[in-house]
Amino acid sequence: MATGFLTDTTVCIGCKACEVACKQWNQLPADGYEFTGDSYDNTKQLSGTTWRHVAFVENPKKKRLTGDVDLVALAEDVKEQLPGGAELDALGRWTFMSDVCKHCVEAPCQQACPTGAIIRNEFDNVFIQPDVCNGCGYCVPACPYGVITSVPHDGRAFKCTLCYDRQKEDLEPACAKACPTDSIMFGEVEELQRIADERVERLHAKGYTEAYLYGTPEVGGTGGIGGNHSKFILLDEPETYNLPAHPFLPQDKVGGAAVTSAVAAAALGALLAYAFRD
Amino acid sequence: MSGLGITYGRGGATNTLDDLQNSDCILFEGSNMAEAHPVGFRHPMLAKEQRGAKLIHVDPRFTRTSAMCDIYAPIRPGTDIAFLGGLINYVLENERYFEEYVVNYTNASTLVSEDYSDLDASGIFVGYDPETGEYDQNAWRYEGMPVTPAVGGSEGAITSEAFSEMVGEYRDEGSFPHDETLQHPRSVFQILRRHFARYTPEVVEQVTGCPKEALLEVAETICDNSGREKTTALCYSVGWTQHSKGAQVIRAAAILQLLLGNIGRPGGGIMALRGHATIQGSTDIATLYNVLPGYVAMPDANKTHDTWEDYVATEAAHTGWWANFRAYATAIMKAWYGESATHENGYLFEHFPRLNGDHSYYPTIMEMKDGVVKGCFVFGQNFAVGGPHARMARDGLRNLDFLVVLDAYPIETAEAWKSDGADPAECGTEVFFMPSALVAEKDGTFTQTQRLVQWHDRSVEPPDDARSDAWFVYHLGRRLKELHRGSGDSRDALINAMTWDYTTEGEREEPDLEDVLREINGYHVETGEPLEDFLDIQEDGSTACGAWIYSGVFAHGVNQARRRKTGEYPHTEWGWAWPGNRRILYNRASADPDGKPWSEEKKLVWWDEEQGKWVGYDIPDFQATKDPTYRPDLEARGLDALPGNGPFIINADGKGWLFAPAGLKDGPLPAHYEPLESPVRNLLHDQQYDPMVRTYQRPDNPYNAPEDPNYPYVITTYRLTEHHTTGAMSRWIPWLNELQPESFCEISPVLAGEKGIENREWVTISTSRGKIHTRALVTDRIPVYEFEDRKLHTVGLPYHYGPNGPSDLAKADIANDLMPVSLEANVSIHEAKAFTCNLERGRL
Amino acid sequence: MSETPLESAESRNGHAGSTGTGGEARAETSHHPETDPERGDKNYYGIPPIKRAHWTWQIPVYFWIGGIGAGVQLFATVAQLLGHRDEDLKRVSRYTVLATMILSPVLLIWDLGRPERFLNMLRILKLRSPMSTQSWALSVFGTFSGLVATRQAAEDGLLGQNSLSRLARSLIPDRLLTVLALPFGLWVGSNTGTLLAATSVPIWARNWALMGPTFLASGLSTALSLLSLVLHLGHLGEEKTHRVLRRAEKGTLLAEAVLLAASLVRMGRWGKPLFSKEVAPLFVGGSLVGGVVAPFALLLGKETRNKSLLASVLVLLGGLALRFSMILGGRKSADDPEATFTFARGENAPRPGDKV
Ligand SMILES: Nc1nc2c(c(=O)[nH]1)N[C@H]1C(S)=C(S)[C@@H](COP(=O)(O)OP(=O)(O)OC[C@H]3O[C@@H](n4cnc5c(=O)[nH]c(N)nc54)[C@H](O)[C@@H]3O)O[C@H]1N2
Ligand SMILES: Nc1nc2c(c(=O)[nH]1)N[C@H]1C(S)=C(S)[C@@H](COP(=O)(O)OP(=O)(O)OC[C@H]3O[C@@H](n4cnc5c(=O)[nH]c(N)nc54)[C@H](O)[C@@H]3O)O[C@H]1N2
Ligand code: SF4
Ligand code: SF4
Ligand code: SF4
Ligand code: SF4
Ligand code: SF4
Ligand SMILES: [Mo]
Repeated sequence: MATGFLTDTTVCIGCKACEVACKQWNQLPADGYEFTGDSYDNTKQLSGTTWRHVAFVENPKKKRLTGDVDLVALAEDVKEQLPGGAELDALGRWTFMSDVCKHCVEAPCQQACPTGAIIRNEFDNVFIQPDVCNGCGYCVPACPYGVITSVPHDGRAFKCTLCYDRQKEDLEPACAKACPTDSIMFGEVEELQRIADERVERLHAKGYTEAYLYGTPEVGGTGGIGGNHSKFILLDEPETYNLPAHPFLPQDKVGGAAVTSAVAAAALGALLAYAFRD
Repeated sequence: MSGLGITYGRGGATNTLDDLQNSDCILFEGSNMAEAHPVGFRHPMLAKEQRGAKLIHVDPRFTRTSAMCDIYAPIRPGTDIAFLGGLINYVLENERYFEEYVVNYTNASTLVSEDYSDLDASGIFVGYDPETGEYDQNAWRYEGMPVTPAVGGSEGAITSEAFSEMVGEYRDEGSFPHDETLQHPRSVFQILRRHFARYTPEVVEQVTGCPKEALLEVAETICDNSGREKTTALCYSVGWTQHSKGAQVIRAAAILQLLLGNIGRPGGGIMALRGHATIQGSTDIATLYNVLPGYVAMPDANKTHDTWEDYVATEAAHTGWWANFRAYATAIMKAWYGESATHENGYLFEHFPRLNGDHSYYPTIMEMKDGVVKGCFVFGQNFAVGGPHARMARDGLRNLDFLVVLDAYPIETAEAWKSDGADPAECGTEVFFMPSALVAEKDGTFTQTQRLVQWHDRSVEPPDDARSDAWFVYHLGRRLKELHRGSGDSRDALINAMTWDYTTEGEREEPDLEDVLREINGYHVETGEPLEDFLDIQEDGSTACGAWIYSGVFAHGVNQARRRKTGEYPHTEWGWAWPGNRRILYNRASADPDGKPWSEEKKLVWWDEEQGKWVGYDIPDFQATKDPTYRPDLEARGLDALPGNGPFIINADGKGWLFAPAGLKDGPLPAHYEPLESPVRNLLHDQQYDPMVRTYQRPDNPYNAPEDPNYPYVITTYRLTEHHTTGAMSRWIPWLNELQPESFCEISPVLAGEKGIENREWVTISTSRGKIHTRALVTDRIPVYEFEDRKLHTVGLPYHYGPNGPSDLAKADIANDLMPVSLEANVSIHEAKAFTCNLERGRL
Repeated sequence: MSETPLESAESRNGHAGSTGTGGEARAETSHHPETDPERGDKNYYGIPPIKRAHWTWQIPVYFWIGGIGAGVQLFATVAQLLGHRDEDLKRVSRYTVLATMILSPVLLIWDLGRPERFLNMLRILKLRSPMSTQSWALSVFGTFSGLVATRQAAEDGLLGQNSLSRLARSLIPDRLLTVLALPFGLWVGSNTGTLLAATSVPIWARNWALMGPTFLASGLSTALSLLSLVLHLGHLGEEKTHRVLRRAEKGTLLAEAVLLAASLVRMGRWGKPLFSKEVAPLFVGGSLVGGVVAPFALLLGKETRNKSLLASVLVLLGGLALRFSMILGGRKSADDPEATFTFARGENAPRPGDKV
């Protein structure tokens, strides 16, 4: 049985309870205190000590998520008659997206890891065994989603464990548990896929034709990654949430690179041999 | 919460949070629910997802709540009465009110005396006495009611209790003059129509800055989702209360919900979203200076409270619940003084303290500063940051002889002696800082937003010397009693008589809080048997009860607040709700006048002809066996004086009050006034701000004059999800602090552009009270309002920050140093949501 | 007609304090990646969507040294196979390879977050993980070259005249081991490039086919330069060795130049970081001009000892500069959201539905 997440950004209220619950359950330190000025996002990104991160996207020009009434359009129509003339710029969309490890089906980080520290556990989650990791850091640039990160002073790489310890006790992950609106759903991957399809369809029916599922073999979990076990329902292009649209499995290049390298080695060898010719 | 109290009878939220799942539409106004009540916000989200409910947010800022809503309507801070007036006008003019409900359950048909005349352009209601600067509420009375001299000296106005009195007298003369066709020009309904006629969409747009299309969209949506089959709920919090006219804003909302027939029904109601986890509990069990537990009036030297009999006679009403005042008050005395309090000795009333003036928070702070108040105990408050004009509060703290603070963190309130550059050597205050236990470290109850009492068990022992507040108070009381033992002094009589016999447990001798809850629940003096509910409370002193409204929380000797059973809606076996475990107040209104549910989907309680009683999902908030057709005769007293079609059983006529013939100091109907400090004039009335607002004219509390060009912007202060109130409980937690690490203000790109301010740059905000430095967050989420061709800018300012805390970044200035002290007339609340300021680039 | 709020917002979305045609100033907000031109087309507050490698100076130095080891091994083996018997060359090569194979793991382990767990690298072998194969190749190559060098040391009398030394001389099949070590050496040399290519960093990943060859060629050119430098300085080696080295150096530099040029073409827009303010001096000045063009020019003209020495030093430094510029370029590339996003949408990236 594979477990995973479905994070539905359309019902996320940006409360960051997931981010805090994760830190608390896993006893992770704060990453520092920086006022970024980037909307309400002061933790910026996932890191070795931030395994859930809530992104804040202010998008005043977008039709609002739930708006049957598009006040921006409305305002355009009635601008002349608006004696109060309130600025309607603020009537856009403000979306929140709780990011997390994608638990890739073919996980680039796992493939990169030379020590075998990264495994798939019995729940088919991508899990780092902290006692095996030697801090080589190679998994870090391998991850196409910028998830896994090595922790300074420790050197080892850390990321979401999908609350392996809790799952073993039949508890749902801390972040999902804390989420008040069920924006984070935890469960069996297939079941979640079903829910996701349903939800996306419902959003389409409501007129949000831009809604889609990220983390499928078509979007997000592309290029040999084969999909993600933690998926997201999104409304904007992936980049808006700092996600690559069509990432790929870097290790797919290794075979080819070996061939070109062998050819090069042979050529250079020949070159040397040629140099020896008197 | 007198806006709700006056209209419906009780100040509490009418419905439950989970009941929002049954709403077809929810209007959030004056609340940023998604941010301030994120867990509760689950229910609106479920309503939206599962039944397609429409969510509406009306707020000066585009917030995380707005982001979740179908409609967002921006309004200029402090203009809610105009906006709600617009909605009421829409409902009345387009006849969208729920007629049967309005005719039967409200005072719409009641006639008002000829003394009343409509509010004119002056903005002053009839009855204004320029001498006292107060209203004579007799001018607003129902037709035929006798004129009553204003009771009491200090209050100078008719209290609602006195109103009940009048109704009682009045009933003796016959029936209410009323007109069920609602056509009589002096009927409440017609008065209402005329009163709100001026709130046309165009005017509302000019006043509030909200495009009229948005107003109309909101109006349409709530009307479409109200009536027999559908219900609309309304959620507000301190975005409405913290205004110089806060109670009237809520009145306007209460009127709207009555007109739409949304009170007492599933998915309807008004959710007064409370703040601190047990803020409801702390008002119920009397942290307010002027009430005893259960809202029993505090003896007052300026009222006819000379003897026990005077006191009881003055405060008891003829009709409604307060007819039992004597029983409730007696039971308190028996609970507190046990055998020493007898009918013969007037329950020791002669020794009981009396109010002799306003001892609410703000005057007390001023008296600290003025040297009148010498000592202060602070339990769980950080007013050096959270009080208005916080600088004055810190000055007051530095002027005390002694200060005792129980808190878990080194809060600013405990450290005023070394803040603001004060020289500790100069500060004569002796400070006792006691480490307090936090919630998980102690037993106790919470009473939350929906009056639900929930018991919690301690999960860990408090660390080191930390002790619960109960421990502190119990042992302090014990020692004081020891100290006074044997004293014959009259002034020591009460402390000697006080029962203080809670059992303690463990090495630390923590008092057993279930003992306290048992006392609050009440018991039969003879047997010690717990009371089953407040109907058991007797006038003769044979019962003791700490707070009548909580009677039943320990029924059958079982801690009902500890129950955790999720069952069927409305989950009556989860915890215990006052009154009498009723979950939805006034739920008799969920059925039509004949007692049949208005609709199948929205049924809640109904009259069962066969059983001859009210039955349903909830516990009826009504006399269980009172037939819908019952009409009281002239002799009827107490609840029997209320008709079978009067769901508002606390009100003396059983009706919801569209027009408040008494009880509010600043008018029988809400009218738009500008905030006390406003950059613009009142477009609707000559009277600029609420005429009854209490101001304190002192050199250290100057006000920015209306339209003062030096203070052209409006500040509104608020919360962020990431922090809690003064930050005392969140700034010290790294996980929360990293999420919003630094103080900032939110301004629009237009204002930033005018001032050359870039995102993240330092700015200086100033008022005539003080100035602070903070950083700018430039965002389109702050709308710019146009007013008579001017651009009005809003400065949004979270108030969570202060100089103390573990991170250097947290060493912020205190937002409330900017605020004036001014008090709303009815509930004495400050105006944190709209006052004026200036803002400049840089740290000046 | 008055402007719509949409248009007016756009026209005002300029710099702080600037006045638009609407006559009102409007500050830049840091929000809405969609609409704020200052923030580029699409990204999230400019925060990199992928994480750069944390590697510090040890790694590029290791790449450099490893490349040298591989190159020396290749040259020595070819010489051996072609029957070119130059004892000086043999000795110098064997000791050089040993030195590189001692330094390499030191640098690698130094860089580990948990150095004591270096051996975990050898828990498993993963063919798809260049880091894993690298570690194994390094271990095998290191062991073999260690053995070969031991034999050499024994022959050189450095181990004294004891039984151990005798044993080494009789039991270690140095010529066989040299040949067997070669593929592992070549793997180390090219794999340092592949290791970078098999990541999500656009500048590296985009050039996946040529990273290995380029690193190998550069490894060879630095190796040849080092040999030539050492032989020159030590006044060692046969005349032919010097001649061959010189020819090989020229040829390799040419090959390297071609590979670098092809790489730059291949990297396309994602190669920009190499020409950025910070990296360009190192890359263009250091590796291209200093490490390839200048030494090549030096080698083309009349041969002098000094010119040769200078050329060797330049090539060596150029090789080091190349490793550093690739790592630094990778950092910049990873830090640039546009690079990642366009790459993960670029025509090289898999499209939906593609079979890779
Ligand atoms: N995370 C978090 N939750 C909390 C708290 C906390 O500190 N942090 N505090 C708790 C407490 S003590 C309380 S009292 C509640 C308060 O809960 P809320 O009242 O929801 O909180 P506020 O943020 O003070 O104000 C609510 C909204 O009122 C808006 N507002 C300001 N002026 C006006 C106006 O004139 N009209 C209208 N319609 N809206 C206006 C503000 O823009 C703001 O969005 O929250 C409780 N919950
Ligand atoms: N400008 C502006 N000012 C405001 C408001 C606003 O919206 N704007 N809102 C107002 C509102 S609604 C509120 S409720 C107030 C809040 O103002 P305060 O109540 O003064 O603020 P808190 O930070 O909640 O203070 C609670 C304190 O209790 C401590 N504490 C927690 N648990 C315990 C306990 O069990 N025992 C004891 N002894 N201490 C404990 C905490 O550490 C903390 O120091 O602020 C008000 N001030
Ligand atoms: S998202 Fe990154 S860290 Fe997570 S499994 Fe995929 S590659 Fe590994
Ligand atoms: S840092 Fe740890 S988890 Fe990552 S690749 Fe290296 S050994 Fe594996
Ligand atoms: S599953 Fe556990 S570890 Fe992963 S983000 Fe959620 S709380 Fe953190
Ligand atoms: S807890 Fe849920 S609603 Fe809150 S930020 Fe996280 S995903 Fe969003
Ligand atoms: S802090 Fe507590 S009371 Fe407030 S929303 Fe969260 S869970 Fe509810
Ligand atoms: Mo509050």
